[in-house]
Amino acid sequence: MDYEQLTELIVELELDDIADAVKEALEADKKDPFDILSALTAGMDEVGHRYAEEIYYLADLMLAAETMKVALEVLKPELASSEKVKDKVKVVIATVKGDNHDIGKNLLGILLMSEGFEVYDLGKDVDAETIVAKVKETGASIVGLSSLLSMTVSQIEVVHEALKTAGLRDKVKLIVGGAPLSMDLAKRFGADDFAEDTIKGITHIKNLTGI
Amino acid sequence: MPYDWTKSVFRFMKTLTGRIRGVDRVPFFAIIDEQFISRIIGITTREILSSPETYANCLIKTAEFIKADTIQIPSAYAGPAEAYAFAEANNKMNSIQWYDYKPLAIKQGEVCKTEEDIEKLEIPEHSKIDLWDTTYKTANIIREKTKFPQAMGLGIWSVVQELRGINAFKDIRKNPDLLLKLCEKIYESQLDSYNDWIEKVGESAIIMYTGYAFNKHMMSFKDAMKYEGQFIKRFQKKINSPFFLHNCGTRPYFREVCNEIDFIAVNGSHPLNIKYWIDFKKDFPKVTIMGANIDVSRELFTGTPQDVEEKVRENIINLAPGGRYIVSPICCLPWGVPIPNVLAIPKAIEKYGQYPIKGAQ
Repeated sequence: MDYEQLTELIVELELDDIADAVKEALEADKKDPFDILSALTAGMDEVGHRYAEEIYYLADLMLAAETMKVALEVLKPELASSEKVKDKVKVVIATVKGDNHDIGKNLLGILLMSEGFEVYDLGKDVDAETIVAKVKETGASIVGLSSLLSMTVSQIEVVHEALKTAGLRDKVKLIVGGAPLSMDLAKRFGADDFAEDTIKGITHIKNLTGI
Repeated sequence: MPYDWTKSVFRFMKTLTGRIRGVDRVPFFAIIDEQFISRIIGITTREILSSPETYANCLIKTAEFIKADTIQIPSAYAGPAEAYAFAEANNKMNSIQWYDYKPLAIKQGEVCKTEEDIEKLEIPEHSKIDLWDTTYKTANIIREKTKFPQAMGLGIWSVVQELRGINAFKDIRKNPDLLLKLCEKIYESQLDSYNDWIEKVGESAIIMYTGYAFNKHMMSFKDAMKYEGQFIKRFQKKINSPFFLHNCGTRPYFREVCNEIDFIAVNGSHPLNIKYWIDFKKDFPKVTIMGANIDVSRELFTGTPQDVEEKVRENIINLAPGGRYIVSPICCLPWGVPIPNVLAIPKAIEKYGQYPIKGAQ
């Protein structure tokens, strides 16, 4: 199992084959888990590129993320025991209070994990207090909020204010996403950044953390 | 002076059908939901829905307050209210969440979590569901008081997302037959609600079709036709009323879908580039544009009344000459939108929207 094949399995969304392929690469071929991770991430990059080019759609993105998740499950113990293991950037994600839409947020979570971030997904309809508590507990440096409904976007400001009150606002970067949002609106609510979709969200979060 | 709904009906229906002879100005179509009603009237969603009379009076007052030319019932829209019907028919009312000042919502994906949930999914009888009964009665009261023809809402993918959540997107690739089975059940359910509407309210003057599958970031156009488009065609064989397509997504397939399916109008706020809409009007001269690029999240939310006026002016002078253009901010008006910005819309229409349009490009 060479690295190109692993990349290809992600690009071709081979959910059923990926676990065995990663096991084979680890056990039979004794490949470095970090090199395997790089090969898988290259696959995700290509998926993101195809999404941007409208060759792939949300369904493909979801499946690629699922495939990556399965691969990571196999890879995780090897990565954790490696001497190369480094501190991960912690990200808290949530859909804001009053909003039960979580498709974009879930996808972002999986993609972030596949990129090596430590993700704390608080789910949907989450109030500001819960988000603040999780940031305190984990020491996360990024908070990602999703709001699909125009009627809930102002919750972003509530979270921004709650982080400020808790003395955490200057310790975290707040990035938001969702159909009714724009960069102007995000900034008005106190967010540091806005991303149009999950693929761009990954890039923006990497920029915010200096990766 | 009482609100002149007769003039509004004339203005809206004539413009919609492309016959603007005798029409004084461009009409104003607003999507008013429970949240906006709460804000204007000052009562909770439960209070609004407590009786058809209250619901109708609140809607009429809100529409008149913002000087809208249209009035339609938010719970007739094929989204949360249809999901509510499925939740009730399948004993999953714990997936429904009520809020004080905004519409009820369903926890996405709760009703059809598993494949078995889809296989066993019961199709609701809308006549037995309190929310729908209130909706039918409210429609009758509104029509009686305003003479505004009431519109029924349909939509497949919007309900798929409510019932199946994120799994629906995986199903597109991994389990298309199961997904189609769910679409078929939603289709059957909506025929049931439509038949009830016919029986209790009468022929729907127009169908507001919410077509969320027709978004480029969601799925290919081929898949959108498979999971939404084919059902619209089937609805249209059974329903004589004209359909308009509502899609508040940011990357809509308006052009593609209008090549495949007959719509009397499209109702959207994207793309934001006005040139898209100018070209759309040229290429689809018989499709009325409701909205174009007046997005509630932009000028309305963060701008001034002057910004809103300019946006409405831009739309009117580019799209209204010759008719088939209706001013419409998309989508629902959120809580935080400054009311002066909302009121700037009818003011701008008065100023720039009188026929013949002055300053037309």
